[in-house]
Amino acid sequence: MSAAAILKKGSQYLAILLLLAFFVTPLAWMVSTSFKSAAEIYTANGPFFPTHWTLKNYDVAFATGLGRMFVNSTIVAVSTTVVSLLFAVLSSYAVSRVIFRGRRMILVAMILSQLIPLSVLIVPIYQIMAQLNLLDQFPSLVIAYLTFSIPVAVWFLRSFFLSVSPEIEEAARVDGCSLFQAFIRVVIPLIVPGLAATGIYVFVTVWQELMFAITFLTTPAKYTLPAGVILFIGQHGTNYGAVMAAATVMSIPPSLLFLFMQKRLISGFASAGGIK
Amino acid sequence: MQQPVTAPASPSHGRHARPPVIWLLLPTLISMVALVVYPLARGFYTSLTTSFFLSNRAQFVGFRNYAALLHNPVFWMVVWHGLVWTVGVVLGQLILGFVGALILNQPIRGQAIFQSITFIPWIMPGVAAGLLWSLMYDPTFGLIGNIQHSLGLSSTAYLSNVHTSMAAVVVAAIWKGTPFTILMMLAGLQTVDTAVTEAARIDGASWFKVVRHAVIPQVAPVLRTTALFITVWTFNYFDMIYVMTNGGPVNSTQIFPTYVYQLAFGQLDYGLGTAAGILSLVVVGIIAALFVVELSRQGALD
Repeated sequence: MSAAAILKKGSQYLAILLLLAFFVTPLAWMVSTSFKSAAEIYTANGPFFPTHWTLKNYDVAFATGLGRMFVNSTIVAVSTTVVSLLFAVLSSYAVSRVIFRGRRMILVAMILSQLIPLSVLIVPIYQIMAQLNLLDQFPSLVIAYLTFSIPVAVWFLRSFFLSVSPEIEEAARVDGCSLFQAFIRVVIPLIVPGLAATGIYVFVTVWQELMFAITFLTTPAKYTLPAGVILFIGQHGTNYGAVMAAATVMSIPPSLLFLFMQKRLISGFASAGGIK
Repeated sequence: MQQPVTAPASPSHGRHARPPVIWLLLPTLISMVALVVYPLARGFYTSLTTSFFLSNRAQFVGFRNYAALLHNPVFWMVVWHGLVWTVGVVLGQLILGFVGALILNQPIRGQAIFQSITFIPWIMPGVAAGLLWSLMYDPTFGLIGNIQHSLGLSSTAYLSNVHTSMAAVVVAAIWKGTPFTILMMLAGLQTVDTAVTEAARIDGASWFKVVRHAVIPQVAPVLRTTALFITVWTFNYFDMIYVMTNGGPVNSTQIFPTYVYQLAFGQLDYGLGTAAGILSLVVVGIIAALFVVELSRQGALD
């Protein structure tokens, strides 16, 4: 290798190193703090990594209800994901495959409703939930989350529907399938990866929702992770160790899902964002 | 390829029989009307009343809440902060994200794993990121203070100082959101015609000039869509500021979402809170219009 080539490789790695340092250092600090003893956390200029690794912070966090919050978040996020996918797979198919009057308007409406700040919708939705006596119950959150999860899912799935050639469906129809059979047996299997990517995106968004959760939920046993960590674990003194343990635990499921679905998620976003 | 508009004969078994559009759309349309259109209308009505928590009597007052907001210096402070916050975060994410994508796009060993790790801040909950950065900024126990001390610099409580709090939350939000821009730009860079960039390089153009004149024009549509996405997300972002400063100290990080929330659920003044929310829609509306124009220009609505 020539000197110039070595210099070039070297500067490439240096650039990557700097980039990674910026993004990874805070993450590593979060995880390492969660394994530190109180003595090591509450000391000025303490070490980056714990000298004595301990699980005590996790014990404290789980004793304060972290496990329960994890279950609650899972119930709410999975329910929202299932309902949004069911609704969106139908409407997204319609706006991707059929040309009808008002189609463009629906597409625009789907974009616009993703842009409306939740802070504008929260008061009226809170009042509606209060009238329906649904406050402090999971359905109130699931229903509220549909406001943003359905439009996102429709828009996301559209890119996957558009990538399925209409001829495949027509071939199935020629073979005697009804519209419904062709949809279920031919189209759906082809967009399973898209459904998975869309589902994961909805799950991750709902998993971290904070504003509705802290407003609608009042019983600590019903808190989802974001609400519980803020309203409960954070309130028990600023126990940084336990708080970092909770932050680590709540970051694990989205990170893992993302790692598994990285490629598909990217293609979902890319085509939703106009990259062919 | 779209299906033809007109269906030929033999309706039930014809190859071009139309799917029952209305039934496919119905669940989505009903939910959107019930969860977005109706609440928006109801919210607008609430903003025209004096309406408080636990009070059944909402009295119609016309635009009094709006007038009260427009005469309140805090409201204008929120407008200004919302602008500073949005512009700061979006510019930071776009610049760092574009440069980061160029760096990660180079063919080197471990590229895939580097890309995955870089994306974690974006996918992790905003609450976790907010808590993490609160500790990072802690003047005594935080990592940033530690680093400054080891370099012989003095540090400050960035989040509780009115002069540094906005910059501190902006930096944290840039850290959290930039991976999305990297992800989009990486996808965009795959579409760049290498013949053009190679030709420029052979003509002796510097790396910077190649990027400026050969790469950026080709990824401009992706850059614009990404910018619109993150502008709206940032303007509407609640979680990190709520966790890190809750709009303080002395409203120095108060932006629309935290302000609306504080009015509605802190002061329990629904009328004022929804009025502030509706006013923030004006800003969102401008961005939304740009969004629709951009998408229809790209043919995404056809």
